This record gives sequence, C-alpha cells and structure tokens, in this order.
Amino acid sequence: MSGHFIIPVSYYVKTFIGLLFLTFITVLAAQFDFGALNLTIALLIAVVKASLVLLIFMGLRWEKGFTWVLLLGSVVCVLIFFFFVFADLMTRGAIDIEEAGFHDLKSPVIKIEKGHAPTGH
Amino acid sequence: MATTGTSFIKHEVAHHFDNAEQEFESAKLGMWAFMAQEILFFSALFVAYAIFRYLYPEAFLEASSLLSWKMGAFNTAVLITSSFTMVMAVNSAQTSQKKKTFNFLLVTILLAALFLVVKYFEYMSKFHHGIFPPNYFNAMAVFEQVPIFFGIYFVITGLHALHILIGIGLIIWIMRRTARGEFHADYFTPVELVGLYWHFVDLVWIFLFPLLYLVG
Amino acid sequence: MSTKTIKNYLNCETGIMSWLTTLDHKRIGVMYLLFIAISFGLGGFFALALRMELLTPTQLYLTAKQYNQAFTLHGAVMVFLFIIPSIPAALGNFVLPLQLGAKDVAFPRLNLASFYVYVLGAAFAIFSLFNGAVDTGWTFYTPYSTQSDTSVISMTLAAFILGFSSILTGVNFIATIHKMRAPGMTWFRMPLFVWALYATAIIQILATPVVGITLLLLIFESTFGVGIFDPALGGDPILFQHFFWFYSHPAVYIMVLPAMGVMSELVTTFCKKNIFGYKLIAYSSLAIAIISFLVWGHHLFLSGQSSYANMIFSLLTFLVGIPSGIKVFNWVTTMYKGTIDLKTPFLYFLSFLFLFCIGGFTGMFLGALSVDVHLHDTYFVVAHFHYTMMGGVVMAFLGGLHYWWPKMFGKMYSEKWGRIAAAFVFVGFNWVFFTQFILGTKGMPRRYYNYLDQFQPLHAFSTMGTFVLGTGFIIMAVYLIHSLFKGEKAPANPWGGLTLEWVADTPPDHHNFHETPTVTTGPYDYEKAGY
Repeated sequence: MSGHFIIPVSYYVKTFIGLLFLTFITVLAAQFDFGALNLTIALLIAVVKASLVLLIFMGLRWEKGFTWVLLLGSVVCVLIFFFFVFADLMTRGAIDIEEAGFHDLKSPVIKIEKGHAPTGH
Repeated sequence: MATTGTSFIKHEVAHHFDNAEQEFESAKLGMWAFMAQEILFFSALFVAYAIFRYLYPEAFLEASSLLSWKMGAFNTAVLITSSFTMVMAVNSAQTSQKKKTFNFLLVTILLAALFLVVKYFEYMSKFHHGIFPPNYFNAMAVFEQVPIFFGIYFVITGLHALHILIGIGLIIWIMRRTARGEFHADYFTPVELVGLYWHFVDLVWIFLFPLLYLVG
Repeated sequence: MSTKTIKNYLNCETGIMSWLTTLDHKRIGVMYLLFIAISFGLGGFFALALRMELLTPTQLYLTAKQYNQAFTLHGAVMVFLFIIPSIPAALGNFVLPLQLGAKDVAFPRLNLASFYVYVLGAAFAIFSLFNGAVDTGWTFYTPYSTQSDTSVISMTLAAFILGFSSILTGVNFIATIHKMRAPGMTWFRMPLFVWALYATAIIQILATPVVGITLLLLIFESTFGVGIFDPALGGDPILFQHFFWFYSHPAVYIMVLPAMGVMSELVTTFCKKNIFGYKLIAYSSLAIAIISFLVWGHHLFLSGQSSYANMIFSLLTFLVGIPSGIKVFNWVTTMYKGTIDLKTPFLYFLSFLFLFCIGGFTGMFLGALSVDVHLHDTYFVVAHFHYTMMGGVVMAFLGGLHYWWPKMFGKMYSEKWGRIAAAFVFVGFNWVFFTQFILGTKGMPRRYYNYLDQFQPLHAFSTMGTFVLGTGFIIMAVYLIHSLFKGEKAPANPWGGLTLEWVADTPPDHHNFHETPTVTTGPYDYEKAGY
C-alpha cells in the first residue's frame, strides 16, 4: 500500500484549468449558430471534458485492464441501447411505404364461404 | 511520509483478505463496477432525451430557451471546482496530510451546497412561471411538446441532485473519519472511493449542461 | 456417536441476532434460501389459484380483476422474488467463496446489506399485495400501468429495490472472482459454476440499472407526469417496452446462466468424468451474456416496432442458440462413457437437459417473425418460458439444492423420496405445460379470463397436472425438512466431487477452510483422481 503510485498534483491543476477553459468554450460555441453541427460540437467538447475527468481525476489512465473493460463495456451497452431504439424509431412505417407498390393494400378481403376454398390467391 | 504531528489510527486488514493491497484493489474494482451500473442507470434518461429531441427539435429549442444558461454555466464551474478540491483531498490523504484532507473535503461540501442552492433558485423561478412536470404544467408555450422537455429535465436534474445529496452525506462520513485520523498513506480507500463517486456526479453534469441549457 | 461437537458455521454462534447480523456468506446464503422458499410458495399459491379458475370457460370463483391480480402477482413474485435471486443469491452466496477457496466474498457487509435490501423490496411487494394487488401483468406495460387503480407504484418500487439487491450482489461477485481466488486458482481452473456466476454478474451490473430507472420513470409518470410514455403529450408507449426489455431480456439470462453453471457441476460429479470442452462452456457463458443485450426487440415484434428493427432482432435472436447449443452438446458428450450415477441431483440434471431443449427450441420458433405473428401472446409463449424458466432454472436450482444440501446442513435427505419427488415434478411439469403448447397452437390467448368452450378439455387437463407438480414439491419440502432433524449425518464429500467446497468440512467451518487450499489442477480432473 505504501508503494502505491500517487498522481502528481500538477496533473490535477492542469486538468482543472483545462476543464474550466473547455466550459468557457462550450458557452462560447453556443453563441454562434453552426446549424446542424451545434449538437456535434457541444457533445464533442463534453466528451473531451468527460475523458479528462475519467482519465486524470478518476485515475483511469493508471488503472489496470479490467477497469477499462468494465467502463468501455458500459459505454458500449449505452451505444447499443441508443442504436436499437433509434433503429426502431427512424424506420417505423417505412416498410409500408416501400412495399406499397408490390401489394394492393386497399383490395377488399375475400370472404370465405363455408365448405368452399377461396379461388386464386 | 510526513505526518503533521497528528496521530493516526493503524488500519486493520479485514480477516478474509490476505493483505492490504488485496483489500484496496478489491474495493476499487467493486467501486468501478458500481460506476458502470451508474452509467447505465442514467443512460435511459439520455436515450429518452435523444429520442424526443430528434422527434420535436423546435419544442426542445423553445423549452431550452426558458432555462437560464448562466446559472447552468455557473453550476458547471462549481461542480468542476468541487471535483478538483476532491482530488486534492484524496491526494492529501495519500500523503498523510490530515488537516489538508479535512479542509479540502470541507470546501468540496460547501461547493456542493452552493450547487444545490443555485439549483433551488432555478427550480423556484421555473415554478414561479408555471413550469412544472407535465401533469401540472401551466405555462404558455408555442409547441405542445414543451412539457416533455421539462418532464425529462426535472427527472434528470432531480436524480442528479439526489446523487449530490448522497455525495454530501458520504463526504461528511469520511470527514469524520479523517478527523479521527483513520486515513493516511497506508490506508485511504474510502476517500478514494467517495472521490470516484463524486467525479461521476460531475461527469453526468458535464453532459447535462450543453444538452439541457444550450440547445440550438 | 462421538460426543465432541466440531464447530461449524451453524453452531459457532447461536441466537437469532447472530444470524441477523452475520457477515458470513454461508449464513446469508441460508437466509436467502429461506426467503426464496417462502416466495416460491407464495408464487405457487397464485399459480394454483389461477389454474383453478381456468378449469371452466366462465367464472368459477375469481372475478376478472382478481384473476388479473393473480397472474400478475404470480409473475412478479416468481420473477423478482424467486427466480432472479434463487441460484446466484442463495446457492451462489454459499458456494462461490468455497469453490474459489476464499474465506468470504470480497465485501461481506455489502453482502448483508444486499440481503436486507432484498427483504425491504419483498416487504414492499407484500405491502402492495394487501393494498390493492397490482393487475397489470408483471411487465407493467404503459399506458395501462399509469392508469390502473391498483398498487402499481408500490409493486414497481419493490421491483426497483430488488433490482438494487441484485446489482450489489453482482458487484460483490465480480470483485470476489477477480481478487479472492485461492493460490493456484487461475481463470481456467475455476469451476464452471463460478464462470456462470461471473457472466451473470456482468449482466446484473449492466442491465439491472436500466429497469431501475424505467420503473422509476413509470412511478413519476403516474404521479406528476414525465410525458415520455404518454401519447397525449407526444410520448411513446412502445418506448416503455424498449426500456423494460433492455433489462428484462438480459434478466432471462441472469436467471438461466447460473442454472447452466449448476448443470456443469452436476454432470461432472455424477458421471465422474472431466467436463468436455471446458473453455467453450466458459466462453459460451460470456457469449450469452453479450448476445443477451442485442435481442430484447423480439418481445416487441407485434407492438408496433418497425419491421426493419424486427428483422434485425429476429436474426440476432437466433444467435443465442449457438452458445446454448454448445453447452448442451458438451454436457451430453461429457455423459458419454461416463460412470453415470442416477442420484437425485442428476435426475434434475436430466430433467433440465430435456426440458431446456424444448424451451430453447420453441424460443427459436418464437424468434421467427412469421411464426410469431401466430403464436404471440398465446399459451405457446406461456409454455415456452415456463419450459426455460421452470423446466430450466427451477430444475437446476433443485438439482443444485439437492447437490449442496448435505454441505449446507450436514445432513443427508432420503434418496428414495428424493427420486420419487423428482419423478412427480418432472411428470407434473410436462403435464401442465406441454398441454399449454397445444393450447397455444390452437389459438388460446394468454392472460384471458374467459375462453371458448372448445379449449376447456385442455385447460382442465393442464390444471390437473398442477396437482401432480404440487405433490412433488410437498413431498420435497417434507423430506428436506425431515432431514434437518432426523437425517443421517453427511460425510464431507458424499458425491465424490472434486471442486474445493468438498474439501471443506461438512458443514463448513466458520472460516471455510482450516488452511487456505492450493490449487494445482483443473476443477474436474477425475482421471488424475483415479476414476
């Protein structure tokens, strides 16, 4: 335990200044309209900030393999969650539009009389 | 290690561990596993946010403009600073500086309380304008999906504030133990674990700030 | 009879407080076992109540609402209070540190805390039972669950709390498996039950929090509104199903993976043969854990989910068959030319093998899109998941319980009655649920209170089977309890198992081992042991 590696304070100070600076950048960037890029830029800065907190403050940089596996595993799970929910949401009803040309969806249903198989298909 | 003249309590390794190293590593691993579950816990809220922002971009734009980004930015700075004082507290514990550990923890708590105070005024100004969760929402809004944004806003910031409250409780707990001299270069596991938890709370807010306050 | 009593974990301390405040993983395991047995009895009572009602096509003795409450409580109690904690929390707690050669789990206090969290969750569930029992089905689908006048909030809160118990157990097991292994116990010398618990713990940590937040959102939705599940505000009820099944499908593997781990233990011990394909079984547990996160959409095929998402989920669902198949083939191959000993635990192993295959294959039917259109929400689905959950998990749980019972309590149960009960359970189970496969293919929808007259013979036949099944469980309860008081004293290793728990005393010492064991071979090296 005594031989435990202690992260130098200078790392913390630099990270702290970096985080404050990036917060300022976030607010600054929000004052300009980049159109569709707004969200991307904001998220990109947030990811950089989060990585700084994780790597330095939480000490992930000095952690062993399994901690990385746990953390990346949870991030992958979140991405899977995002991906499939959006895969559903963005394609709902799409098949009805795309296959509308193949089938006559408005054709009347043929009533089956008892004892008589319907002709055709 | 330089001890500042104060007495420390020697740490006894729990009976089922072979040595202090194994005890420390296990505790840290367990805490990281707990962090993984915290990420997933908040993930559903972020997914919900993403979906409805995708579906109703104009409503989100309008709703977000009703929030005060200045308060949000101020709180971001407060939390980042508290994260910094937290790592300094951990560092002081690792180098057996009892007084310094205690003081850094105290500053962390004060910053956490400041965050909650700002949050309180923010909530109050929303309530004042009739901005409540959807069932009680009675503010004027152009888009009819604006209440959904505030539904998500109140749940996610509310749960985040709850995490901060729990964090304050945990920090008070390790402050008392610090005062008793339990933490020093040979044993600082609880300080480090509470630190991890506290940074996670900061981490969530880092994403919440641009997503909630700076839409558009 | 020697008059000298050897101290063990059961008699080292006495009095009720020594149990309630214990940090010993073995005692916590036993306490879980007690609560799980009670929950199983409660869930079984509701099952019996609703099967009785279904004897006739019209009302027999329950009102429609009471019937809805009965099947909801049957599901909720069985899933949240019984199956999820059954193998990991009860058997796992007892066996895991012993198999690793450790003195305890990594965080004994957290272990006790998760037990009390479980008790608190159970208390909420019981409270909701007497306070307008919930009638939404155990899945709590919106929009009905936000409108039902029954106690949805207290039941979802119960499930939320129970979820935390499960997460904390998972955290504990992961740290234990990583850090507490005995000297020489490398990853590939761990018993396969440990591997299974490891894969389970990963799912518990990564999936359970999502159901926690989902149920919390449901509570908020029905109190002050969030709007995300409410179509009137622009929300999406299908989103609830996504959120719910993101956890609840992996939860199925939280239930079945430990069961598969128990199977691997049983097959080697009762065939006296090294396991066939050790690494493949270990890796397939992890594969199941990973794939389990990719298939939840197959519960939403007919809920209005996009057809393209349906296709992706259907394809991914079939992938689960691969690692499951690997395990089944490896168990069968292990039996080949083994010295098979048909003791009670092995009878449950065989039951599992047979029933789980049926449950698994019918799962493939349901994963196929076009077939699912016909079978969705029919008794076919009910039969399918009972074949996996009860035919799979419960059989493995019973197998494991009989296998480790002598180790837990130091007493042997009656082998004769054990076999008789196993026969009753196996026959009764198939009687009840195979009938329901037929009912489902004939078009009987699940959760219906009244039904067409033509289904009555099959329904009545299925209900008759519940009595056979119930008789099996009553016999089991009688001889197990009898064994505690009058049973023969168990030797340290009654079955000839090679894993480390059989090295410990019976019942184990408070500190598990008198000296920390050192591991030099794989867990099932029967050839070296002289078989």
